[in-house]
This record gives sequence, structure tokens and C-alpha cells, in this order.
Amino acid sequence: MRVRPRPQLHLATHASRALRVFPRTDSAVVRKSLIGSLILGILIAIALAIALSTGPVEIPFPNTARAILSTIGGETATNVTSTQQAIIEKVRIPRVIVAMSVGMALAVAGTVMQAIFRNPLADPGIIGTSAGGALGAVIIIALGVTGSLLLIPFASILGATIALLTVFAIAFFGDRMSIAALLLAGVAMNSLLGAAVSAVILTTDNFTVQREMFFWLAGGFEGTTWDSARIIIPIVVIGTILTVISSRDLNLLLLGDDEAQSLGINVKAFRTGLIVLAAILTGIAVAFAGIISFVGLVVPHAIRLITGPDHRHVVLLSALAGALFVLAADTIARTLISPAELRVGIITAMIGGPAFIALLMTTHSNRSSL
Amino acid sequence: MKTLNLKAFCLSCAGLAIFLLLAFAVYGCSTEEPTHTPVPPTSTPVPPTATSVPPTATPIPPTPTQVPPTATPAPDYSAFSDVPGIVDPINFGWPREIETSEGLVSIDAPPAVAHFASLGHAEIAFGLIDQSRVAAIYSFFADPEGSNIAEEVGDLQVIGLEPEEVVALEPDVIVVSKFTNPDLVIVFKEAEIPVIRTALEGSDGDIPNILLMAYVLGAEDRGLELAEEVRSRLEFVRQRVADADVPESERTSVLSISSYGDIWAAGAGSNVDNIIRDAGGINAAVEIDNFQQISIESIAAMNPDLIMITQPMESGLAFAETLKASPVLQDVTAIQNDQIYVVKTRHFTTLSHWNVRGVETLAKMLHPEAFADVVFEDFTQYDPE
Repeated sequence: MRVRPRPQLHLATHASRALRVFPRTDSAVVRKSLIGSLILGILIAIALAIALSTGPVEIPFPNTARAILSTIGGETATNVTSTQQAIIEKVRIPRVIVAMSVGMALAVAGTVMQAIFRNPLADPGIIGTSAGGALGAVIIIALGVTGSLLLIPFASILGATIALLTVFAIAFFGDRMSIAALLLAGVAMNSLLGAAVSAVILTTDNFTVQREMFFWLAGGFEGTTWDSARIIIPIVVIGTILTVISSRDLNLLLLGDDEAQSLGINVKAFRTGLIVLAAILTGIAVAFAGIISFVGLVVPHAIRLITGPDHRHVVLLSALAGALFVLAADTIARTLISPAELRVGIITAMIGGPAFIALLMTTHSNRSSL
Repeated sequence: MKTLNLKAFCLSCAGLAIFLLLAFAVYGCSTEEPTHTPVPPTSTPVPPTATSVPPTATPIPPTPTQVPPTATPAPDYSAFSDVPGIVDPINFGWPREIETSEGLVSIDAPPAVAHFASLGHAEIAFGLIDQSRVAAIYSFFADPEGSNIAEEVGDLQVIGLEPEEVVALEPDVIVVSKFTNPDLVIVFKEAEIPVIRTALEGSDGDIPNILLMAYVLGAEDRGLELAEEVRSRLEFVRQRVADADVPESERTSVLSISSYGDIWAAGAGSNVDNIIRDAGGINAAVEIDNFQQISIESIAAMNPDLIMITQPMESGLAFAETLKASPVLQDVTAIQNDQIYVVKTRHFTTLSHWNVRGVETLAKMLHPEAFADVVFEDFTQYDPE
């Protein structure tokens, strides 16, 4: 994108507009974020306690606590059976960690996409990013390639990145990017990749592998181990930190390309970098949980409805809320009809949809009455 | 400000990229066996010796000491009077009428060619009529792991799931199950092909279904033979189990599971639940309905005496090894006593009279003394001779 020199007067105008929309009172921002983080942190702690102490096997809460401390400290817990220790350490702890990481990744990816596309419908599941990740993963599964735990995550990240960059390139065709074209291209890409995923599944000869792919796509955290946690945690944490660092510039991007450019943002490079970041977060989430809908769409909107559009709050709080949301959904999914389990995607949709509508209506009602 | 932002962002991205590369390199070099991906690896080499020998995998010895009673055909058409769907049970001429959930269907003459939309119906049909009267098959009918008629389908035409392919075959009648997509049925009906939808429950040897299909296909005598064979074989097992006189509290709890990435258990109301009860066991997953997903922790909570894996042998053996190695399951009775079996899935999962073979297999596993003198054989298929 060519940068036209702008008169100093215009720059000042844009800057003052930016300040009006997103005031630079950093202490207020920090205070608001801290309060929100504290509330969400308490809720996450409560959800963690419930998730770790609940399951088909009844484990008394003191034993759960001892098993957790034993896992952290590496010492043998007293009065805890080996089965109880194994269930807490090998099943429940890695599962809640991966669930929270996936929720965080999807919520941050959704926040970023909605900001860079300036469209409330931008979501990894809607504009083809998740489908790209899924295609990469099912190809690896169909090929029967094994040997490293990283193959599926790598293929998934690659698929998501290619999908998102392709959508971006289509929308950028010509001199300027069209947000409408970008969204339409995303929807088309989603259909195309969804069809490709179906084609891979249907053309797989091995019925067992076919079923594996089908159930994997449905999304869930069954069979999660510490190996999964070790891979997903660093990627999600670093991705989230990078997004939080970029949150001030995300605000400027909301003002429009020209205005962001005039305020010192290299819009093209910044947007491309964020797209890759969002694709990595989506890809890693898809690799370890399949396709879980609604998180990237609902969580950032819910946070925006509460805190306003300032990304200095939205990114961090969305990350925490995403972690809380998926953790709670997974706990419900595995305990509601225990000893059977539900798909976590069913719960995210069933909770997320009505909760979001209620929040939306309440906010609109409050605004109308003012 | 512009330079600062761009630099900061580029540095951050570069940092993430370097981190990812390092992470991939570290994990890629790891010698640890892959214990988790969202889908367990299926190409893992299968150990040459199974955890427990599949009970029906050994060939039948040539000289059995005792064989369960087989069919003693005595054409008594009164058996058709109890079959739901037959409108006039004393009419064995043509046309004849059948009423199912798809409405009243009149069949003018013995169908020369019929199409079966489910594997269960096809398995019953192969016991009743010559394969030349079967219009076509789907590819999974020829899967030797999942189908009991894989050896019999021979050169029959294999079709896809497109309803147009079925219509092009011009069958005289189409039999569908309760699972068949209603949209397909609409297409068949609009092509003016009689469609019969039956429940296909898989319990009690599916005798009503056998007789109904025999009536539809004009194979009443063979239907009575097959129904009698099924009934007598099932009764034989039930009697032996009853004679074993195992108190309810001492019966073996059986968990039937399969794993395709996720773990699925057969609960109350499933055909496997019927098989377990007929074989004299107790379903460990009776708290859940039909087939539902469970976690490995649920297996520990159910604590079954015997675990039965119903899925293709290769992936089933790999799954059995996974269960045996799980630290969560080390206190489970079935694991401690090495009671994990990978069985022939086609005897347990298809909804047809072949479930009786599943009953026989499981009964022998649960009561080896009671069936020590018995060698069970497969069902006889239709033989024009």
C-alpha cells in the first residue's frame, strides 16, 4: 500500500480522534483490566476446582487437593490411591490445561480477526481458518503418517495459515483491501475447505480411519495427555502476549487503514503479521480439539459489550474469558450425563448462543433507555 | 512511532517463529512414543500375539463333540400370524400387503430383484434368497471385518449412496431400516418402487424381521427354517446359561467398547446389551443409553470384570494395548485379570440374526465350563440345493 504524505493538520486530526475514541489514560486502562482479570481469575479458580474434583470416579476433595499438590511437588501423596493419583495427574489436569489453552487461543484469534477485518462476524470458524486447520489435520490422518506428536499440529497450523492468507490475498486483489470482499472470500473458502475435508473423509478406504476423522472433527478433549499440554501451552501463551502487546495498535486499526497509517502504523505488515498469529492460534486449537464453534465469535463480543471496544481490555479479558468458557463447557460435557460424555462443541453452542443473545438484548435495552 | 510499532511487532513475530521452530525441533527429536494425538495412531504396528486370543478366531475343529441343535423345518405358517406388518397372515398368494411405517404396500408378485439399504437386512436376505435376486450392494457389505456376508456377495454390483443408482437398478422392492434417510425413501417412492421400512432391532435373533422379509420375498419356507435355527440356537445358549446357575450377584460384568479416537460404550437398549444379557453377563455400562461416548475415567468407574472390544481387529488390538498400559485402569478387575478380548465385530454390531453368533461367543467366554463340549458354527446361508 502506498503511503501518501499527509499534511500535519490531518495527522493531528486523526490523532485527536483516536484519543477521543480510545483515551490514553493508562492508569484507568490498567485498573479496568486488573479488575476484570481479577474477577475472571477468581471464576477460573473456582471452575478449575470443580473441574478437577468432578468426574465419573468419585474422589474426595481433600484427596484431589493432595493429588494436585503431589503432581506439582513431585512427591507421593498420602491417603491417595494410585488410581486417584493417576486420574488427577494423567487425565484431569492435562485435560483442563488443554481446554483452557484452546479457549484462550480461539477467543484471542476471534478478537484479532474481528479487529483486522473490522467485521463482527469474523471468526475462525466462519472465514475458513478452522476448516483450513482441519483439512491439514485430516490429510495427515488419512495418510496414516505417524512418528511425531507435532505432525498434526504442524499440518493444522499450516492449513489454517494458508487458508487465512489466501482469503486475505483474494480480498487484497487490486490496490486496496475490501472488507466486504474479505468476508465473502472467507465464507467461500470455508465452504471450499469444508468440501475438501468431506472429500478426504469419503475417499479414505479405511473405515476405521474414516470414523476417527469424523469423531475428531466433532471436537473434544478426550484422551488429552501431558504431551498435548506441553505443545499447546507455550504457543498459546506467547501468541496471547503478542496480541496483548499489539492491542493499542489494534485500536488504531479500527479507525480505518488511512487513519492508522497516518498515525504511524505500517498497516499492511501489521495486518499480515496479525493474520499469521491468528492462524497459528486457530491451527493449534483445531489440532488438539477439533472444530469447536462459537468461542471465537461469542467471547470477544461478550467482553466488548461489557468493557467497550478498547482492545487494551478486550484482548486480555477475552483470553481469560475464553479459557473460562471452554473449561466450564468441557466440565459440563463430561459430567452432565456421566459416565457418558457429550461433545464439548454442543455445550459451547448451547451456552454461548443464548448467553450472547441475552447479553446483546440487555445491552441494547440499556442503551435505548439512556 | 511508526518505526517503533513495526519493529516491536516484527520482533515479536520473529520471536514467536523462532520459538515455534525450537519447539518443533525439540519435540520432533523426542524419542518418546506418541501417546496422544486427537486421534490415536492407527498404523502402529500390531503386536503379533493378541492380549487374549479372540475366542472365535481359531478354526473350528473337524470333530466337534456336540453341536447345538439346528433347524428342524416343519412348515407351519401360523408363525407368520404374529409378525407385525403382515396385513393378512393367511394369505400366502399374490398380491400380498405389508404395512410398515412407510404405509401400506402391495406386492403383486414374488420380487425377482430386491434392494436392501442396510447391512442387517442384506444379511437376513442372504439367508433367505439366492444372491441373484439381490440388486446390488454397498461397499461396506463386502468388508470382511464388519459384514457377515462379505464372502457371499461375490460379483454383485457395488453402488454408491446416490439414490439414483438404486432407482436405475429397477428393483421390485426396497427394504430400508429405521436409520435410512427419509429423503432417500421419498426418492424411491416417487420412482414408484415399493418401500418397506422395518425396525431391525437385533434382539431375540430378529425372528419377526426374518419372517417379515421372508413373506415380502416369497421365501416363507426358508424363512421358517432360518427362524427356527435362530430360535433354537438362542434357546440352547439360554438353557446352558440357566443350567450354569450363576447367581445374579456373581455374574460377570461386561463392558463392550470401541475406540475411533474417542471411546464409545454399548449401554442399555443397545443390541450388545441384549447380547450380554442373553450370554449370562451384566452390562457394566447399563447406566448409559444405547451407544455413547465415555472417557477412560468412566471405564475405571464402571470397573468391569471383562472388557470386550468390538471394532476391526488391527485397531482393536492396538486399543487393547492402550487400555492395558493406562495407569488409570490398573485397578480395574478386567485389566488385573487380563480379561480384554477383541472379538469379531461383525457378530456384535450388525443388526441381524448374526447377533446370535455374538451371544454364543460371549456365552462361551463367560461360562467356559458350561460350553466346553460345544463348537459353534456360523449360520447357513441360502442354498438352492
